[in-house]
Amino acid sequence: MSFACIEEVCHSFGSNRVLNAFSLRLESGRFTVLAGRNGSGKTTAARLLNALVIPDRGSVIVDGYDSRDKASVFEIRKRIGLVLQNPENQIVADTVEDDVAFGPENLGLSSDEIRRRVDASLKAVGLYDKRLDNPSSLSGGQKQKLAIAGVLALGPKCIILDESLSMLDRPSRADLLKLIRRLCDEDGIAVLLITHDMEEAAYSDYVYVMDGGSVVMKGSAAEILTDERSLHLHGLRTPVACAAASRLREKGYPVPQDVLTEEDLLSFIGGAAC
Amino acid sequence: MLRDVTLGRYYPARSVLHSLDPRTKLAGLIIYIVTVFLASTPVSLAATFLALCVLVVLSKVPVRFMIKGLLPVAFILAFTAALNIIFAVDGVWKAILITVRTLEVVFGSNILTLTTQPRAISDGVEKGLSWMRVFKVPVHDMAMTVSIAFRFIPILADEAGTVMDARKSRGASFSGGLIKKSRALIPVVVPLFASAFRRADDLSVAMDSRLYGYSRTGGSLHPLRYRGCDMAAYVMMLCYMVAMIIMKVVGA
Repeated sequence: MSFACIEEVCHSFGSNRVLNAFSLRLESGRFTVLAGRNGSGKTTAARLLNALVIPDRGSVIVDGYDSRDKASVFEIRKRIGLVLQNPENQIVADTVEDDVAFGPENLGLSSDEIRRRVDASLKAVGLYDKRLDNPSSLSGGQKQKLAIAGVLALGPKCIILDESLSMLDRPSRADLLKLIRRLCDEDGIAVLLITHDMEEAAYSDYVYVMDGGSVVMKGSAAEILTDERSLHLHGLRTPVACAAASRLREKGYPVPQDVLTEEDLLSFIGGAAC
Repeated sequence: MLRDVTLGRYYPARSVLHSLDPRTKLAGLIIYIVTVFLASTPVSLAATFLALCVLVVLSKVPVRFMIKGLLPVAFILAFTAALNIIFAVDGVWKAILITVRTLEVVFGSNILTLTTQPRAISDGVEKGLSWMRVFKVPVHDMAMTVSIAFRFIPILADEAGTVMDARKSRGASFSGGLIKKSRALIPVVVPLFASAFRRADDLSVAMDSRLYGYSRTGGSLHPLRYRGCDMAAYVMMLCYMVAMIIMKVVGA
């Protein structure tokens, strides 16, 4: 059974229909990407899962809790953490550890339990040494890690990253993608990354592509990213490594279908050269 | 100049004032402001000024850093003083009184924010006013609002500086007379407001998703505890307040 499930949701803001029969499933320990061009309804979908938006029609069920039931909102938000695009706008405190403690304090935990969760979350994202620093002194990647630590401290079963990697440089992005992978594989957390950059999707297990408020493609990362024509039709570009692998296949080289990232391609070329 | 605003900025240092409980410092600020407005003679005004000097020394925050932060309010002070000198009876004394009082209040508030992290101020306000919960006053929300307001002062000041730099790079001028300056500021204020609303929206979503407003009955990462130095500070504040009241009564 899926951890979270959006079923046939329709939602409008005024006369603007943003979601139209939209469905999506999140599984524990799976890294899912929701991709789509700007204005396709991705952010509204993220807010549905965190019960920040209640659908006009259809249902959102998280770990058995229905978001339409007001009493379930606390349980849903406890289970699903949301990280936004700009980390600067999510910081509520003036030291790294105080910011991470914000969520656990709202859960009404004891001081000792708050300290335990704060330290564990900061260690998980590699910011423990900076716990007493002012968040403004952190780099963009570190601020985004701080935002992730802030939701990890709530003990979530799922984390949604809403375009959270888009403002980062390549090394910081690679670093965070590794962290996401670790959260899925080692902690069994379901991760939903919302993006319009298919390079990020190459690291995921499952991809949904949405356009005009509906899901138009879904499948494993390899299935979706190798379908250049369909992606182009929905305003997305296939990753460079994927496109290069495709060109090599056309020229008769035996490049496997699961070559999606630059690392995959380099390792294939390295292997072939040997 | 907006980037020089020190109100809301925390200055990390190891000082007696830094180590005090935020409730002690908040009580101290209230007492100090009351005594500043009680002081109406040169002697009592000098006493409040002396108290301020002691606080500045104890804070270990460089005086130059504090004075730099006062530059944005210098114009308002000069303008008020000029109005008093021109229009008020006994104008020079009134100008001095108002200018010194304003400077002392601003400096006093600055010392609080420079030596106390915004989160601690928020916790202090919340604990100190917790008795108001009986009257259904949303103390926690008020404290959180104060804390976030302090946190965003330097961010918005930086942003205003960036917008002004962007406009300067496209030929805008912020020099000249008062009317010209005011006109030049309008295109800065509009994007600044738009950005502030965008930030506020993001922040409210982030706070909602981190369960803000559901429970405040549990513990805190830094539970507030009074220590010996807080008791000593309260005794000193009490003595200072009594001395100022006596000065007021005897007219010194």
